[in-house]
Amino acid sequence: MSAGIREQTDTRSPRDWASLTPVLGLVAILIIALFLAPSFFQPANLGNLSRQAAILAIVAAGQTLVLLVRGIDLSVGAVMTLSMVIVARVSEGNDDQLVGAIGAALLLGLIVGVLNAVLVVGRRVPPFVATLATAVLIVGFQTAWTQGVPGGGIPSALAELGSSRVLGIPAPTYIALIVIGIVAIILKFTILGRWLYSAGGNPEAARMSGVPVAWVTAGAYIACSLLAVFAGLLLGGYAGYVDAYLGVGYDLDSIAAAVIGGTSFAGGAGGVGRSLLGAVVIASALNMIVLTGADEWLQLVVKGAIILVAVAVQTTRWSRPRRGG
Amino acid sequence: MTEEGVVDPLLRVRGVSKAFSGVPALTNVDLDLYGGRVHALLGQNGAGKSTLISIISGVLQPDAGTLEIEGRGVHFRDPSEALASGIVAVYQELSLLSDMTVAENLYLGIEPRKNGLLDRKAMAEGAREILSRLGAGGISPLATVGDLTIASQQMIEVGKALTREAKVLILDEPSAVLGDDELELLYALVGRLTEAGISVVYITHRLDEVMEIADEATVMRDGSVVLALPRGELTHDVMIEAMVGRSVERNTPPKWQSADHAHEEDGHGGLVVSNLMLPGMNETGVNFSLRPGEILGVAGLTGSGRSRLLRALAGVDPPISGSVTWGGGPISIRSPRAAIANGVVLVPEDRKRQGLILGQSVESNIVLSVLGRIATVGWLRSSNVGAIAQDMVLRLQIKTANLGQKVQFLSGGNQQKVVIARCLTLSPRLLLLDEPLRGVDVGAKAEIVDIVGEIASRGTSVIVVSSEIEDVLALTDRIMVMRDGIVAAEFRGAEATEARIFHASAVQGK
Repeated sequence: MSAGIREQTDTRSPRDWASLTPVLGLVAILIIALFLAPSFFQPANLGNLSRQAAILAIVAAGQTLVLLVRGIDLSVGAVMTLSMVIVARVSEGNDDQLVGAIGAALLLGLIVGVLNAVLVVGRRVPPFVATLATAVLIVGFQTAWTQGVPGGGIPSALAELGSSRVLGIPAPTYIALIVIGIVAIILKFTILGRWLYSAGGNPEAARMSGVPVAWVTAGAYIACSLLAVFAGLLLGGYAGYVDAYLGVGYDLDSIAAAVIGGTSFAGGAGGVGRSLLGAVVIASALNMIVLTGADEWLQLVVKGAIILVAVAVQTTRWSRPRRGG
Repeated sequence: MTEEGVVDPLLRVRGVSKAFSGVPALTNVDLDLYGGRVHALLGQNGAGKSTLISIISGVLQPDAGTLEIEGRGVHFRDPSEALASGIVAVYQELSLLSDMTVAENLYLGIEPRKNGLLDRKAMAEGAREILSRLGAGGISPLATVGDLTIASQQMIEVGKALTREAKVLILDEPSAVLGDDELELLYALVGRLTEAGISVVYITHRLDEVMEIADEATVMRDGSVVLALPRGELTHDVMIEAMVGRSVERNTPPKWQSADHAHEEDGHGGLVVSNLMLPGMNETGVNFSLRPGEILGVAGLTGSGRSRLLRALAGVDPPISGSVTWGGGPISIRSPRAAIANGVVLVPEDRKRQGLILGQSVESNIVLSVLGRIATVGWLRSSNVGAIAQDMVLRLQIKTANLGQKVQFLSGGNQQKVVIARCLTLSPRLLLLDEPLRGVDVGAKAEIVDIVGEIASRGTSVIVVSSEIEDVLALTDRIMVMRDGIVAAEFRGAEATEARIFHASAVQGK
């Protein structure tokens, strides 16, 4: 009997089939690209695409952790920008100051993460409001500090890291895969992962089961901010310059990537691997539209449409009749 | 009765029957409600009171039988039709909008209008008049409902019935949410309603209240009316006998039998609870002790503090004061995590909301509590986790296709077994079970009773709370009865009969 139970554990439930939707979406984009923008498939473009997707995927990984505990983090874009501003200012473009500068940026991430956690877990402020407020605070602080014009420069070592290629593939792509791999392993094989999914799946039941729900939730916000710092560094390194708008849009895009991948707003379901896929879908769609030479408004329309389809797929899945109400 | 005998009843129920998927819930029920009188409706859980009320108020339709209002036959297809005929039910969960004012709530959906606009002045005046009719002139029509006490909110809810010109008002356990000092207000309110000619149906478990305010009483049991008496013939004993109905003898011996004078031993190595003050209860405190391997049943009505006792011991809602010791040493119960570390774990009342993560697998749910003990530096080995879950599935005979099955697809009984399994992985010293047999089919009930007996025989102490006295009696013959946050009585061995327990739960005074 025991063998019988183990064998059946791998049975695919209908829900898993729905998780193939982003793959189908990606295939559709590739087919459209084949007709409308053949240059999409040139190695140089695919490299750029993978770097764009990589940076987004790192932010989305953090966002996924927060979504898993029924939260949302609207401050990641602001954190990305400010980390870059800090690195540029602290290092003044010197490689020998880089370690200290990165340390300062990570400290920022820690502070923001703790602030979000205190607001959401300690003060029970709705995550949407709390992290939006944090984001506005960060932008305000940054503007006051830099007078709107960030100074300093990107150290060449960081610029090198952001733009170099190994075996024709951009370095950030490797880095993203490693980071996401580590987060995925933590989610799947450690107690932290189990706690995270249970705290999101049913916080009350998790607490009664002895799960430290408050700490786990706080940890998700802190990890999310730190991952945003990390993505900000790669973005700045690749851009090679710093301005006040580098991270704009990454908050919503990271949420979109997670949702397209199949992570649920209701918490407790999803994963960073899926969000990686979601990031690739978004990056591919946007890249293709740019290549066709279409206007910017079309990018937004397409992005919106992708998110709507993703949410529609998710809600259809949720409303499947369940036994026992 | 003779003078009222000539008066037609306001509502006449005749021969009403109702079955749910073949299982009869009501059989041939008659009920007469007269204007200006309070009719108490009594019965244990599952006696059919709710079904009868649902039929009268149009929520359910009867399979057979008739309803007449003032001699005119009626068929309610939904609650709004019953409402239009003047039948209003007020449930324990109030239906007020807490962010709106008293006046807005009173006139919700029937707002007075002038020239197509809301007539706020007429609304406030109407509200003021209704409040004074309720004897609640002290409440401002412009107060926000959420700021009022529960007792006042209940008055507003009754007031809503007045704005809708109710003829029959059904109050479903109105006193369960009230403190003793607020009861007088409720009685006064009921008095005013009957003076206005309204027929009040008063559902309660507290027999003292029935004696206090009822003009007549109907007792239901197993879906039938077993007793209908006028005020003069009502006594506690008559009502309890009718409600319980069974002989006082047991059919089967309980799983656990209390030893004589066990409670007199001091330092017996088990649990000692002293002066435990429960949150939300303003009484003296709870005292009892429990030996290892002993099963204690806790009976009491809703609101008696029985669930709060378990939640306090499990660290979910920690006690305000008092001490809890095990084997003579104090144990910390300031959070569920601390309680679990001290070997105390709770199977909560509402398994879907508090006990299970419905979207996760049987395996994940079973091992959730024990993860901290089996992880090596936070790392989990899936073979280890699987083996623990597998053992529990076999030990508790949990019927599931596989360990990866989501618990939401299991039956109620098997879901309950998963919650119990999760607690057992911790090898607790003290297992707390809150309504472990609720919503569980008969077969699974018997299995869970066996499981609990087996757990106790291995030395785990068990406290079981259940509103079904019968279920507790199947487990143990040591029963503690709670009322208003204190231990009202304790019965052992042959003393523990359903009638005695029920009497102690439902009747005030020692």
